[in-house]
Amino acid sequence: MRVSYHPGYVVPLPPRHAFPMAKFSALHDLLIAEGVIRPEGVVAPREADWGDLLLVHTTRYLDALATGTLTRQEERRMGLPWSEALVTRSRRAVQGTINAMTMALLDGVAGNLAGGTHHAMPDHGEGFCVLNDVAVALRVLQRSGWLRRALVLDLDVHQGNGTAHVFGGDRAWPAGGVYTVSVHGANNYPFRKPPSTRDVGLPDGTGDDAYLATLSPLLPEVLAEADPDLVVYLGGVDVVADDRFGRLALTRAGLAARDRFVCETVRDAGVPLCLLLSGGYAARRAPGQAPKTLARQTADLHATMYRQAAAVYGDDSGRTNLTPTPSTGPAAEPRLGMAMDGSGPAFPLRRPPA
Amino acid sequence: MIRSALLALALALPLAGQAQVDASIVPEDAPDWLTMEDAIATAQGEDKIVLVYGYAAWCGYCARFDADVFTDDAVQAYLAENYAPVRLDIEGADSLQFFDARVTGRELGGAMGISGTPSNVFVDTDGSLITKLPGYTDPETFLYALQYVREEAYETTPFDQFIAARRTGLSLEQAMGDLVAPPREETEAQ
Repeated sequence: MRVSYHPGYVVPLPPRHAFPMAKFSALHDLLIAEGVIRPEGVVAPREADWGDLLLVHTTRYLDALATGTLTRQEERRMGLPWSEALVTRSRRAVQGTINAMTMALLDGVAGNLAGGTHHAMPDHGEGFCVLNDVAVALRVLQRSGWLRRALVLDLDVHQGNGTAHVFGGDRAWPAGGVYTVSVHGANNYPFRKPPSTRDVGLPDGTGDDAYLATLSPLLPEVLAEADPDLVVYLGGVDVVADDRFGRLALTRAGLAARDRFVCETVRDAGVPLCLLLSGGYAARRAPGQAPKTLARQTADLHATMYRQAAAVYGDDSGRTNLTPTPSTGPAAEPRLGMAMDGSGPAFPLRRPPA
Repeated sequence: MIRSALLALALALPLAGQAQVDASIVPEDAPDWLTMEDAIATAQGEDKIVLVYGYAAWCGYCARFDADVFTDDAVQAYLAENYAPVRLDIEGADSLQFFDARVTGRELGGAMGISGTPSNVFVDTDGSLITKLPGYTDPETFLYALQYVREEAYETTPFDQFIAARRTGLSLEQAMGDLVAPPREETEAQ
C-alpha cells in the first residue's frame, strides 16, 4: 500500500497545546516498524498549488493565510496559532490527499498519513482544520478527469461540516458529484451541522454493537446509491471511549471491526479506497505523563485503519491485485506518466496547457 | 470530569451532616463542568472560551450562584455552545495544569487576581485573560455577560449599554445613538 507522508507534516505548536501534532510522525514510524507500509511505498508530497486551493477556498482567506493576517478571532476559530510552517504543512497535507486519491485510483487502495481536515470552510479554518483537503482533492481530480463521482465516508466522531458545506450544491444526486456521509456524535461539535447527503447522529456513549449495527446496513446502501469511482474514508479514531473530544464509547476491538468492515465492503464493491486520518486525540493525560506518550497512543489508534487495510488488501506495497474500476467516463483511462517513487516531485495533476 | 466529581465528593464527605454552606457540592442539574486541562483543550478544538468560575467552599453567594445562575436553562444552553466551563476552588491545594504551568487552585486564583468569590474569569485559548466578572449576578445579567465576551462587544460598547440594547431589543448602534461613530469605517481605513 502506498501512502503520502512528509516529515514536514509535524510543525511546532505552543507547549501543552491540545492538538497532538506528533501523532503524524509517530504513525509513520509505527507503520514502518510493523511492516504495514514500506519505505519505498511512502510518497512525499510537495505543497499544494494555491490555484488548486482556490477550487474550494476564497482568495481572501488564502491571502490571509499566506500573509499571516488572520484576525485573532479567525485564529481562535481555527484552534491553531498561525505560523508560516503551519500554512506550509497544511498545503503539504492537501497535496498528500490529492496524491493518495490518485494512488488509490491506480492501486485500489492508498492513504495519506494526515488529512481528513473536514471542518475547514471555504472562508475560514476551524476545529484544528486549516484547509479542506478532502474537498480540494476531489475538485482537483474531478477537474483533471480522474473521477466523476466520489463517496466521502466520514466516520470521524465530529460531523464533516466543511465538506458538507462545500458539496452541499451536489446534493441533487446522482447528477454527478460528491456524495457525503457523516456518522457522528449528535451532541458533538460542530454545533451547527450543514446537511451532508446522509447524516447519522449517534447518542452519547454509543458502544461497539450499536455503532456497527448502524454502519452495517448503511455502507452497502450508500455505496449502491452513490455508485462512486472512489471512496474517501475519514477513519477518525475519536470514536473510542475516553478520547478527549469524543462522546462515543467504542473499544479498540470495535474500532478495528469498523475499519475492517469498511475495507472489506469497499473492496468487495470493487471501488478504490483512499484512507485519511481525520480526528484522534488520545486519552486524557494522567498527571506527569508526557505529551509524546499521548501522541503515540493516538498514532497507535490511527494505525488500526492501515493494519486492517493491509490485512484486507494484502501487504504488497505497490500495486494490489484489485484493478480500479472507475465504471465509465473520463476516469476510465488513468493517464499518469510519472514515476511515483517518492524521490521526485509529486506528480502533476494539472491540465496540459490548453 | 469524573475526577472533579470525585474531588467534590471527597471534599463534601467530611462536611456531611453539618448544616452549613458548602459551595463545593455541585448541584445535580449543573452545567458540564470540565477539568482545567480538558476545558483548555475543548476551547482550542471547538472554538470556545474558557470560563473559570472561582469559588470557595464556605462562600454563601457561590452556593447561590450555583443554585440560581448555573442551573438557568438559557445560561446552560449558551454555555454549552460557547464556553468550556471550569470550577476553580480558589483555596484548593491540589495541583492542576494551566497551559504550561502546574499550579494549585490557590496559586491560580491569585495569579488571576481573584480577590473575592464568586468570580468569573474569561480566558482565551492562548492563556491570556480576557476579563473578569467579580461577584454575584442574576441569571439574566450573567447571560448578557457571556454574550458580551463571546461577541467581543467590549471592543466597542460599555457593558451597561450592551445590556440596555439587549433588554430593549435594539441594535447596539440604535441603543447608543450618536455616542459612537460607526467603528467599522475606522478599522477599514487603517
